[in-house]
This record gives sequence, C-alpha cells and structure tokens, in this order.
Amino acid sequence: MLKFRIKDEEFSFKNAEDLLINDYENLAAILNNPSINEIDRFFKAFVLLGVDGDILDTLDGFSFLKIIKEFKDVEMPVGEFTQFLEINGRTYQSFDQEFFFSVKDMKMIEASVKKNPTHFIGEVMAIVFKDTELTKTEHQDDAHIKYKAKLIRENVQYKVALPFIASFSKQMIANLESYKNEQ
Amino acid sequence: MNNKVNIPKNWEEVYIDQFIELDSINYDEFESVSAIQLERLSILTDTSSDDDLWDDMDIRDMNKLVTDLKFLSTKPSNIVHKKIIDDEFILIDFNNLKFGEFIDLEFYLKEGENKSIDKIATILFRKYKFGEWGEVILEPYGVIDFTLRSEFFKNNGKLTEIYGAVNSYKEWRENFIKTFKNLFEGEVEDDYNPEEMSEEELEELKKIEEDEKKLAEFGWQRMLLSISGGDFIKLESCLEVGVVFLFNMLSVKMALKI
Repeated sequence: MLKFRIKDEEFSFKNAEDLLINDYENLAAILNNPSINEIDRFFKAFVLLGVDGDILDTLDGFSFLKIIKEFKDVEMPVGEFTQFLEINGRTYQSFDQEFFFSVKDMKMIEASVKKNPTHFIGEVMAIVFKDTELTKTEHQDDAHIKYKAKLIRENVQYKVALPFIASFSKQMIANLESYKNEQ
Repeated sequence: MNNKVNIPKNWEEVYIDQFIELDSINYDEFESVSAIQLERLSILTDTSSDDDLWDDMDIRDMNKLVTDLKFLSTKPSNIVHKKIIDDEFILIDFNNLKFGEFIDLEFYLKEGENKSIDKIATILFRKYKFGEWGEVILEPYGVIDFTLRSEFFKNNGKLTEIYGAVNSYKEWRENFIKTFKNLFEGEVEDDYNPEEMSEEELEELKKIEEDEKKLAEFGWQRMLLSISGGDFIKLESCLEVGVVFLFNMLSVKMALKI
C-alpha cells in the first residue's frame, strides 16, 4: 500500500489490485485519457484510490510529482490463475487442468478489446470464466457474456483478473509476432 | 493438440476450393489477428471457425500451426501440368480454342481469375480418349455439365495442377490480343483535336463516346451478331468456330475492307 505524509499525518492509497474490476477499469480509463493533462489524471486517479481531494489540494507541485513517481513505481503482484468464482450462488470455471486461452476465446477477447480499449477486463473475465451449468453455445452468447461481464465487474477484485490480463497481453504480442513472421 | 490438425505445408497440398476461399477473405471484416488466423486455418482444415476443435485448442498451439502457413505469402508454382487429377483430364491446345470457349474464358477472367479458377479450369481441362490413329479426342465443351464439373475441380483439383495452366493461358491470350489488336480496339478515329472542335462537335463526340461505352458492355454479343450476319440461327455454329481462324479471317476482312 502506497503511503505519503503531509506534515505529520500519514495518508494511504488503496492498492489498485484490491479495487473491484469496475473501479479498476475506471482508474485505467482516467490514467490513459490523453485529453486530460498528467497532473489532473493522477489527481482523479488518487481520489478514486481513496485519497481525499482536499488533502491532495494542499500538496505543492513538487510533492505531488514525487507521489506520482512513487505510484508509477509500484509493482502489482501477479498471482496465480483462479480456477473458480462463486457469484450469486453460481459457479464459474476458467480451466480444468491448466489455464490457457482457447483459439475461440482469444478471438472473442480480441474483438472485445477492439470495441472498448479502456473497459475490456470484465469481458475478458466473462469469456474466460464459464458457468459450469451452461453449454458451450450458451457461454459464447453475446447477451450472456455481457451479463456475466457486469456481474464480474461488480463482484470481483482486479487482482483476480491480473494473471489473466497479464497472460492475455503476452499472448496478444505473440499473436502479432506470429502473424508478422508469416507475412 | 497439433497432431489432430492437418494443414497444408505448401501450395502443392492446397485444393482449389481452399484457394478460392483464401483469396476471398476480406481482411477488413475481421476484428483481430486471431480471427484472421482462425479463418485461414479453418479454410485449410476444411472446418468452420465455429468448429468445436477451436474451442479446445490452446492459442499457442494455433500460433505453432500458423508458422507453417508462411507459404501463403508466396506465389504458387507456375509449372504447367498437361494432365491432372490422376491423368483423367488433359489441358487443351489453346490454339484450338473455339470462339464460344474463348468468350466464356473472357467472362471468367473478367470475374477474377482466382475467384473463377475452377470455372476456367473447366474450360481448359477436358476428359479425353485416343482415336483409331492414337490421336487425342477431347470431350466436347457442349456436353459438359459446367456446374458439376467446376464443382468437381473445386473439390478435387490441387491448386498447383491448375494454376500454371491458367497463367499459361493468360500469356497466350495476351499474345493473341496483341496479334489481333486492331480487332479488339475497333476502328477508333482519334486524329481529332478537341481544341479545334466547336461546342456542337464536342457534344456529339461525347455522345458517341458514351454510346461506345454502352456498346462495349455487349462487345462479344455484337461481334457474334456481326459474324453471323445477324442470323440468330447461325449463332451457335459461330461459337464452334476456332477463335484463331475466326480472328484471322476477321483481320483479313478488315484489311481488305470487305
């Protein structure tokens, strides 16, 4: 947890990975919004991470930039892949033996990312985690994925999504390289 | 997982239907690299992109398969095969093409040589038998069920068996058109200077050009009507005349202005 002091008082940020996916997506959207200047971007982000805006206002520019640097240096721990999620009495499973992105899942995920480059984590998780009581066809239904993405966004912390997102990013690069090599 | 999927490793293993489908992929329609790769792999494995196979396959395994697809960015071999599909079909001698066959080839080439390669092959390759003197007797064009035959080539013809022949025909056609350039271009009087023309003359010229454009769309039909002397009963027999002979005669006719 990132902490900073103003005079003698200590303030702390929530860890980004502890945010619900919904809040993390909002945070990421703010941090990647090119139409806001960097100071405003981080101001909004820190407020989202639980710091009082009035307190941030009392900081001088130098101290604020120092906090930004420290925030940027924080590394998020990538944990293990979660196999099951329990939400509202239903079980969602991401893999049997070992996690991998299936060809079809990857195709759907890439399409979601393209559609909404700042809010896609919910969709990635909704595609990867399958309701154990439903069929393959039902898993891939657009309306079902949309519903599940909302459910996951509002109930699952970003740290659960982190290993999947990290793996997805790695795979995306590998896909592009493989395509480039083929040309 | 890889063992379950057999994909062609070179153009020699690609069938005509697969080539046509690969050629018709509109890359702009796809939302991602994986979607494009999946489409190509499903074409080359004769599956659908919705097939369960792709539900169970690890994307990393697909990328390994994709490394075998490098050949797709190269040109297929241009070797001309005289006999194809277990020697069942023979390549015709282009110089013996009939006028009707030539017109059909023009139509399919205009439609797209890759898109219509099965149909072009249907005209260029025929069943055959040997006559009493060992001469090759070709299956007549008129007896072929065109749809059935092109379907057969699509599903049973290897691309490299046909690709070279199509290119060889295109080369022959180019020479043919060069030889009879005057007949293809028609009598165009282009020794006029628009700057020296009055407004009425320019208007008339514009109308003539528009009419010619319209007429060009029916170029073959017009030529056919002209050859048959406007006699509809003779149309069919005109289509049976050798195209080289016919154009030679037309050329003579034009030269002698008869």
